[in-house]
Amino acid sequence: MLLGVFITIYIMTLALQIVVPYIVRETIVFGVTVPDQIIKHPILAQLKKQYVRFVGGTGIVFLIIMIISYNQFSPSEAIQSIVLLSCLFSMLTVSMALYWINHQKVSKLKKQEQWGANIKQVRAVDLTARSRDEMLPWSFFAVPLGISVFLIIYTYLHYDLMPNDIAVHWGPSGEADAWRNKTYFTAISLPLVMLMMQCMMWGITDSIKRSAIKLAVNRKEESLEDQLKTRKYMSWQILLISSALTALLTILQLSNIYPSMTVGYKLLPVFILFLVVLLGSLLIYVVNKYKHKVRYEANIDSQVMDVDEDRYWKGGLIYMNRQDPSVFVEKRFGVGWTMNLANPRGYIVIGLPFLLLLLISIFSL
Amino acid sequence: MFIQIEFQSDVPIYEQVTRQMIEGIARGEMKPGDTLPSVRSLAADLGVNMHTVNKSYHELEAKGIITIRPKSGAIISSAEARALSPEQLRQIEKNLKPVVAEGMVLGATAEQIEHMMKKVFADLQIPAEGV
Repeated sequence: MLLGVFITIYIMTLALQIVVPYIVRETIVFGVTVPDQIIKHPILAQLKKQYVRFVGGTGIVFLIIMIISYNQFSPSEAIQSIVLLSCLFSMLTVSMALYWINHQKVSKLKKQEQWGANIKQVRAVDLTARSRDEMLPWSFFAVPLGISVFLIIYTYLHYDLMPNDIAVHWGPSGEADAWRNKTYFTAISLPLVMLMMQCMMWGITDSIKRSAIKLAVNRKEESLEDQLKTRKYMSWQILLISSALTALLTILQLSNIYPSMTVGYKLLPVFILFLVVLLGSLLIYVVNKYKHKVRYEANIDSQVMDVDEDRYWKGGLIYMNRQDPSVFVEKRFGVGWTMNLANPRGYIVIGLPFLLLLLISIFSL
Repeated sequence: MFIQIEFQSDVPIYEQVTRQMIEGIARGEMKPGDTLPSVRSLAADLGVNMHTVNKSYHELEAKGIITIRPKSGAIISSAEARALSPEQLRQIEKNLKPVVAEGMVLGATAEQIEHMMKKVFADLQIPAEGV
């Protein structure tokens, strides 16, 4: 069971690492801005291919090591877990190291050949874009919040019914493996965790909505289409994850009130379903991202290029730009979005619920 | 309609926004009654401070081109609402003066400048491609 779940996660992660250079914008290669005018530089395609082969190759080697050594240490579950995790992290380390080497190579080449030195940098905006934005309104995200509040009230109404030991942690097979004494706080710690996570997801969606719709100046129409689709899918995705999480934690909380629910492996399908929803939605996001990506057949012949923001990206991974009012920007290397660390709003929207989440976990789990 | 901002330009960003919006309205890409994006979202999309966009909107309002309403945002005024006043005409003349003077100093004749004016006028009446 543990191995099965782990192999699935491992293969998904590996696949993501491999496709990353092909799902990010073509004008960003290993975290470096490349002007549309030299987008078909032969070295770039070569580096991407090398990256895929190397990460794919070592990824498979680690997978084999993982399976063999898992069976070697079969009696001890603790060692098995360590083996599984270390293989996953080794694979991630290799891909990160290769990313880093390629990032340096492209940066150096850019400097040497002075890419974009004589091209005017402009930022394009469509004034009608906002009226075409199809992100879900906030009310959708308020529904799961309502469920958490209802669950807290419900728990207190049935407080006497609850057993004296409250499950606070569940193993991979869906069986509780850690308990705490019943108090008015531990009884609702699960719905509270749920509430904080829902707040975070709400905050993320709201911040993405307020963040920039970024156009590629030489491919305005297509990039706008891509941006609007990405934003729409992203808000659906976050709502889906928020709902799945709500469903899972609601069932767990109810099983605390009605312990007969956990007898046998009744909760196992719920955990598996949750994992499937989580991984599935990630997969759909990646596929959509790839489908709507702006594609370049050849170098673009134009007098202008997008604004080169490389100086705000530390290592092409961490974004810090004081001037930019956006809290979230799309990652330059990877799937999804990343925070503008120089914008204090992000710390409030994401940091505050996260801090509360940590505090609840520390005091109750 | 699209606007394009150049960060390294000598022209301040708010001025670029104002000019391009006016040009868009002149071309008919934006019509009376159309709503401009909110200050907050345009600032986010441009990646600039909110004050920059605010300044531009207030300039457009002062010129009588848009009206800003607290709840519904910035709306482009109708042709009747922005009927040319003698005051506005004087302002346009004042803005034109240094340009014409520069032309004179460099030796442009009144006919040449007149011709230029007509050309600019005609250019703006042809809708931009792709719209």
